[in-house]
Amino acid sequence: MSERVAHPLPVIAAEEEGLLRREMLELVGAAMALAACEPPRGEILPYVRQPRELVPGQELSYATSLTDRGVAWGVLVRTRAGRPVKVDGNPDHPTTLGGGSTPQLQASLYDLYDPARLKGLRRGDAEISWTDFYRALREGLGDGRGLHLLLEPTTSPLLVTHLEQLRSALPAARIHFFDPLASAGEDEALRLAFGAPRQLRHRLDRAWVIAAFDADFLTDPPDRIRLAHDFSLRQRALQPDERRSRLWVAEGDLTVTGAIADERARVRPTAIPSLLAALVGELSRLAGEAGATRLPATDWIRRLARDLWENRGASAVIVGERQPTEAHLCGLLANRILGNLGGTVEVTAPVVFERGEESHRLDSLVRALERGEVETLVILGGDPARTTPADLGLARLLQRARRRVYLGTHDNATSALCDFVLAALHPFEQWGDARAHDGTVSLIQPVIRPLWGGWAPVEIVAALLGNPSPSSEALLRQRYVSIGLGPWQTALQWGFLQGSLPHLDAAPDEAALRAGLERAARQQPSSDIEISIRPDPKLRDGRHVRNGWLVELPDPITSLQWGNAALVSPSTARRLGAEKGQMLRVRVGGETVVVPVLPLRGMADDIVTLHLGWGGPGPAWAGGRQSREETVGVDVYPLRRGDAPWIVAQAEIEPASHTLEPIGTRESLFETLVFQQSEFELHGRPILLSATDAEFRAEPDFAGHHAHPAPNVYGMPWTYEGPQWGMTIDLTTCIGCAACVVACQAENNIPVVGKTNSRKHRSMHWLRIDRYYIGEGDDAQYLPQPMLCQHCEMAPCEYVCPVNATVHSPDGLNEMIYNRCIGTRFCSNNCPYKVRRFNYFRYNVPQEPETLKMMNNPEVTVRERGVMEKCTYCVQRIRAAQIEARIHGRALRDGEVRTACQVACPTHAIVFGLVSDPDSEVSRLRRSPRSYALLNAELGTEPRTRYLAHLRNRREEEA
Amino acid sequence: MREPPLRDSYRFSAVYAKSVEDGAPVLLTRASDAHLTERLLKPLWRGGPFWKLSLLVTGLGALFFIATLLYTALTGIGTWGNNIPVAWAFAITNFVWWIGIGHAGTFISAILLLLEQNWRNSINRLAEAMTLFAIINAAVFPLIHLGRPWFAYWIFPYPSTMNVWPNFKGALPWDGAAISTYFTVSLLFWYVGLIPDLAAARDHAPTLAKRRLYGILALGWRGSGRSWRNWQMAYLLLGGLATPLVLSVHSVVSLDFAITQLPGWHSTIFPPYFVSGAIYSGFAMVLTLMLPLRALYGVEDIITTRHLDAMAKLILVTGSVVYYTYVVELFIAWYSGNIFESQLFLWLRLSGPWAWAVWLTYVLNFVVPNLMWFRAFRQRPVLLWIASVLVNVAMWFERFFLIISSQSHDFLPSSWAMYRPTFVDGTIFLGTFLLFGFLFLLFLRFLPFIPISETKELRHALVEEESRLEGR
Repeated sequence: MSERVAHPLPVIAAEEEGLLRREMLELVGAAMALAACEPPRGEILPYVRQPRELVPGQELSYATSLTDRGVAWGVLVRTRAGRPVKVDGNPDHPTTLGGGSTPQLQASLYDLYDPARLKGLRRGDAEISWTDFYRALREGLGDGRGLHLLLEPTTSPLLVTHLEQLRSALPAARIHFFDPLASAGEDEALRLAFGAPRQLRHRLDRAWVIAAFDADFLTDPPDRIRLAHDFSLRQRALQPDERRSRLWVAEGDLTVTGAIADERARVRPTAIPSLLAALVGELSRLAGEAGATRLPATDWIRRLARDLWENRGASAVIVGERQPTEAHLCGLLANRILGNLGGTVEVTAPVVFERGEESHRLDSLVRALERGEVETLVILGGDPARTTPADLGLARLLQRARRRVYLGTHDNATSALCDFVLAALHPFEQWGDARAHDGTVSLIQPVIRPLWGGWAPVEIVAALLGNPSPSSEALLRQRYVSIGLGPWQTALQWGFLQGSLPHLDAAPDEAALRAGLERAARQQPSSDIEISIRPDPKLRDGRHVRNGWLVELPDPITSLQWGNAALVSPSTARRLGAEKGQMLRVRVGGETVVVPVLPLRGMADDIVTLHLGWGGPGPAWAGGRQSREETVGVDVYPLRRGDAPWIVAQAEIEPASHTLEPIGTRESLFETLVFQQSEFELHGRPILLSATDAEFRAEPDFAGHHAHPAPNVYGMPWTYEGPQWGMTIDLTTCIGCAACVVACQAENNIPVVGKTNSRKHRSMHWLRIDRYYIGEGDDAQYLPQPMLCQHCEMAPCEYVCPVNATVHSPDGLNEMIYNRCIGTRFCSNNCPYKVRRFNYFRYNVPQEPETLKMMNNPEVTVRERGVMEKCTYCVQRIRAAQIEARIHGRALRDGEVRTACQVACPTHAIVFGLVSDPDSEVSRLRRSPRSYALLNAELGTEPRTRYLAHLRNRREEEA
Repeated sequence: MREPPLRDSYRFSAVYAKSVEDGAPVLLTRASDAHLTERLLKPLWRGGPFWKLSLLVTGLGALFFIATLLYTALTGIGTWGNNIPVAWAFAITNFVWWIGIGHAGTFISAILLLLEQNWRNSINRLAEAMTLFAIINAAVFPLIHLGRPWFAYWIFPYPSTMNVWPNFKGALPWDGAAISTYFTVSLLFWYVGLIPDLAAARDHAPTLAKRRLYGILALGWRGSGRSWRNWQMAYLLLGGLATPLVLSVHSVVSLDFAITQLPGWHSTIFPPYFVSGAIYSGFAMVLTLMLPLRALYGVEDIITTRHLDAMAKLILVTGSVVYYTYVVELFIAWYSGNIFESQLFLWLRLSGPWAWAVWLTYVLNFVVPNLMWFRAFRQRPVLLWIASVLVNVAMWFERFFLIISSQSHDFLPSSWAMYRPTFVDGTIFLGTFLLFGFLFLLFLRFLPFIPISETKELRHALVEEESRLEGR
């Protein structure tokens, strides 16, 4: 009985067990008796005097860190009454400079409150105590023989210290790291070139010309927020005479980076090394270097080489991580020839512990398992049973370890194979540290008491070292004991310790580079259709597959929700005889995966792109009810080989009858894919305006005639006085990463509606990223256009509402009064931008678990069934700032109100502010000749949101 | 009582003379008043063929209909196929369709009354009842279609404690006003027309209970000359009042679409287009109901081929207006040079995903009315019945593609999305037919579906005319 009363969330317990009235009364009585009779364990303090910094109703932000593949992102967590309600990038932190986000950063809040998280500690199916676990863990450790640790790559100085202690205390123990997204090529190339493990740091804020080869640097690397930020600095141009950087991309898959490239070549991934070799050949020729390997260069490569050469020292050649060693060597050679090393491309010591070294390869673990030498295998994080290459057979081998310990966030393939399963703490629940991509030590401090208990990886390592009750707080303080209390508190306030890794100014080994060039030049692309495997833009290696916000977020390229697809070019689709949505059977080795096809213009021919991370159980809750989806998407991990984890040339591909496929059994073929957007052509409509820089110079006002409405006999029926709000969205700097979409979802309590409702086009995003092809054929760009309520001054939605539920505020906001809305949906019909969202069901309340309710922002209404909703320009932030200004008797300052999407944007493409103030940034941007108002010339809606037309920086050359 | 033989003097009547071209005269029987009264009241006392079985089926159907409405109200209209962008779909299609059908009744009763078209006398009761039931069916949809139907009354200007009024700039409050007015006036008009017949029913009722019931309903009608005079004046005045409503209701309904700026909705041609479409479909529905009834109850001498002929001609007229509108819409879409209009009309509708519905409508609405040029077609009940059903099928699909395609393919291609109705959508639509049938069966059983007094009046007029001619 006392056990049941002590359950952390008795409400949930009651639901699970179908509590009867009698039992309920019994429990209430017992709870009262226990509360009266038994003192709590440990010391508690009454809330007599509230903490100085805690003012009821006021929000508090804390600086802490998240990690992506071990690398720290600085974040600010906004808490209300002790619970985190919003996460943003820390604007001072080097990886998140400017405060930008990624969708994953924004969605970390959902990970925290996910009701499906592992809870407590269990052995088999039985819950056990920490003491029992500790005893079992320490049993027969000896010198560590037979003890193997498998961790995710780490940069944490705290964890590294403990791992080193472990190595000295238990010399026979072995430590392994595994990251499904890592690949050896770049590490190997850098080791060959510099004689020691190194990493590259790209400084795009210094580059006028960027050439990316199979490198989606805006989506994949851990420092992508910083890269996007730096990239955007030289992209923006308000006037025609401003110089802008140029992005060249050669890639096979259509990626976020490639889609916005100024010059793009569709090249299959296996052709990249020889393409790079050709580029190096051209550059050597331009540089007049002897011994240059002459390779047949395409026109594209020749133009790129000239552009790079003209901007030597201010250009960057970036090679994708998954490319082989020789491609990276060519990239280094190109950067060396161009004099970029130390400028746009810096070389530093690696921040990831032992990156590129033996411990990062799984061979020794596999051998030890095969030989049955593993007594205790401690897996700290990740899901290696699923994500390791299929041919290693780790899932099978794991069972040869006598004791298997798993620390993770969710039940998964690995936890199912382990005896001891421990809940991992969310970064917001623990103390710790990690390094930023430039080596800056970032601190992790908890912002909430652990929701369900759990442990940090370092605590398990400390337990192995003989600490019976490890606490990450004590361990961290001990690690930084040399820092005094004052500086320590300052560091916690900032979220990091100043100091980054320097550029190591050593010339690369020319012979190694040339050897790589020779190998690359000899490489022939395969002639078969090849499989190109990529990390998913949303789910990364699959760790976010339970995250409702990310699963329902439309893919930044395909707009797919709740699943993945095999992306092929239209002509390859014809060659394979597969239509959109039809199932494709892909067989590699003995493994078969059946996945729906999605033809996508812009893909290279003869490749099939598959995204990792899908498959397995998805979000536990969606649309206000427990999810009924067994799996989301298709798991393509089985196709990965140890020797070919990314690009598989030998694959059998054929269209499959959909009836064989479990996810296709009940739905029609087409419906296996769920899209938010399904039409990507503009059909000549003036919606996403774009011009080349040359055209902009020739006709600066190319977008101007869309800024003003057609002549109107009625005129404006009223005048606006006082502060007026408006927004600009720069289509030139927008990269379409969708961080803003998740930020909006987090800020405004936007529910996850589930797969069925998403399929019926009922997802609730107030802000979405539209994509359109600009241009014909291979030369087309595939541009993003964030679409949200335009806050029209002559709003079509307002006059049709029969009950005045959507009206205009004196400061120019198009307001939505949920209480008044009766749900005619007339406003949505009359909205030319279709940005209004309707609560077709009760998506939010009431069945949701408590923790998902805790996630809600208390400043924003949780909408009920049957009402319309839409972007409010984050009105809650506007009003809070106005109240603050009024209390202090001053006027609002420009930049004082920033919308959630604006804060999250890593490239500052979204700017919000007072259009009534001619000196505000938003007013300045609105005066740009690129500024235009969507559909204003056609419909006269007078939107407050303005777009800055897109510019494409083509290289114009005399023939 | 046997019906007296038809005097052949009718052949000399002016009405006959006029109707040689159009077929038989508007009334073939020359039976006595008493005989007519008894004959037309017979269904009230004896019932009709298969009445009980049909009532059971439709009654259960009506209950099922109410259950689907409750399910929707309790769960949310997510049970339907509606989405964003297609926020209005089946329900609004059904609403417009039923409201359209509801137009024929008042047109026949009021406008033809004012135009002294005496052929209306035999069919106006039936048409008006159909109107009322159609409006009831139609009115269900705007209500259940709301996200929060329990607040539907906010659409009306009532003295709210918070002093909030509806937004009179929007078309939906107009809708509410127009439909409720139309229903009220139609009901009054129908009821006033019923009073002499109710009194006749009272006088002929076989049991005390029925006598009491009809007595109360007859409002103390005694049949005095003064009563008749006042009654006729009231009826005429109500007819005058109802006449503009025939034109206004569907005009207002059309404004639900025309005041928006969606391509395909935003059009000044909508009011006349909708009104003619409404009368077109309404007449078709009257034919659909009347033709079987005429045979089942054996009243071919009261509802003659002349009636069929006249109604078929009206279908030809209104159908041609509708068809003309289609042509004008397409022409203007091209001529305007507006990219959103022209792509919607000329590409997305004619060859897009809804092209099947568009072409079905265009073909049926062209072919069927044009068959009415032929007298042989106009006067054949079976052919006419098939045509009338096809007209209403076409008109349903017209509203369907008109409403759906404009939403599913509007300004931004990014928001284009298809709509697919659900099972609940289908059952609610089916349910309206069953409710309609249920109400109509009750009407047939408890009220005379052919106006007795007006038929007798018509007979008197004809006999007088014939005597006059004979006397000459």
